[in-house]
Amino acid sequence: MNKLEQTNQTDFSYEEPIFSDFNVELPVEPKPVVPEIKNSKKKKFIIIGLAIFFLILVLVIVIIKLKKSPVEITKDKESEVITKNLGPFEERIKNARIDLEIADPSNQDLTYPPVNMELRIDQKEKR
Amino acid sequence: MNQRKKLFLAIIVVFLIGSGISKVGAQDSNKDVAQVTQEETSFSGDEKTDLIFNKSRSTQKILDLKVLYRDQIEAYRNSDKQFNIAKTHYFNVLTLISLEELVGSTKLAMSDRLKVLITYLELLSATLEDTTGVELALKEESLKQIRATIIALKLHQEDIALAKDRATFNLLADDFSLFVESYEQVSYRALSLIRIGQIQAVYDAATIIDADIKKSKEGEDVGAVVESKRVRAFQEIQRNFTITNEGLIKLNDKVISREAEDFGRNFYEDTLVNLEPIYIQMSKSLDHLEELLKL
Repeated sequence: MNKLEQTNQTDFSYEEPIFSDFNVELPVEPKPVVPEIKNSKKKKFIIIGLAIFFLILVLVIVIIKLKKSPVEITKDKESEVITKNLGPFEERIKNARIDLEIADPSNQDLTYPPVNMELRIDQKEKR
Repeated sequence: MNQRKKLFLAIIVVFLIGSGISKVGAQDSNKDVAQVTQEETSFSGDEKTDLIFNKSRSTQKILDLKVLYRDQIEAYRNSDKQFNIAKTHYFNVLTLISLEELVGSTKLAMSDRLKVLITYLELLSATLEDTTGVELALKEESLKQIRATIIALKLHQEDIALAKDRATFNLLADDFSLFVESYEQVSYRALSLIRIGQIQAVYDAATIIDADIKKSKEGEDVGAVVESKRVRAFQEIQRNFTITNEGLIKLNDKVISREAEDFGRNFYEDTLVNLEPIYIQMSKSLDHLEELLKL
């Protein structure tokens, strides 16, 4: 009812039912029918894809680990031991060759001290 | 919600499988390590003679001295640089403060220089002692000279520690100039002996190897062709040995005949030039010995 058409003047405005006119039932929208079969298929693909991805990732890590360790071992040992099967004579010749390499005259080992032998504050007095 | 749970569960399962595989992998690699070490220990135990250790021929003492020598040279370079800066600064400004700085830096540079010189002689002494091919009398004489020089340098080091003024440092510089020549003589003499001795040691080892090979091949029943090849090889090796030996004797004679004050940089450089063909000859002899083993 319109306010202007009201005849009863004793009523207070706050006693009026609020939004009484708008209390209309709205029509319920029908839920969209989701194609469940398609959705579940997509999710399955995602799960399988993720699983394969992680599996590959783990496998790659394992392969890298397996490959690394033997190389490190050989590197460490390489400097210390030449695992070569040699007879006693070959071994002795090899040792002599190592000694000869050390004795190479062009070897710059034991160089004379590179120091200033004339280090002094004042010039030496001429006598 | 259900789908999310499934996804979450799938990821957990994949991780569990993955960690399981990696653990197996780690165990395998550990097994590999264990196997390698086990193989090595068994190898070193059973076939010790067949292993060649690629070790440095220097003893630990020599290696330590080399490291010390290198470090001391580095320290000396820094103090020498400081000394030169302080000296230039003093002669530009001629103030008392700059003179104090110069005296301080002179003390440090002189002290660091002596440390280098002493360590170098100790290094030469240790190397000479370790070199087997040097004639014993020459070795002893050279070691004695080195020890005497070290003592003189250490006394000079004490004087530097006590010195405080410009005049004293000038006097110490004069004193030091008297050491320089003898220091050079002692050092180059020892160096020459080390160089000759190192090749002499290889020559001595090679002649013993040659004799042992000859002995080991004596009883072998080989054809006439191989036998004649062997004889020719032995003759060639012997010829090379003779040339090497003659060269080494000449060099040793030069050292013996020289007066103590005749060993300088020039003598050492001449020695190196004379050693070059002997070194090449020695290398050839080792090649021939290797070839001889295959006959």
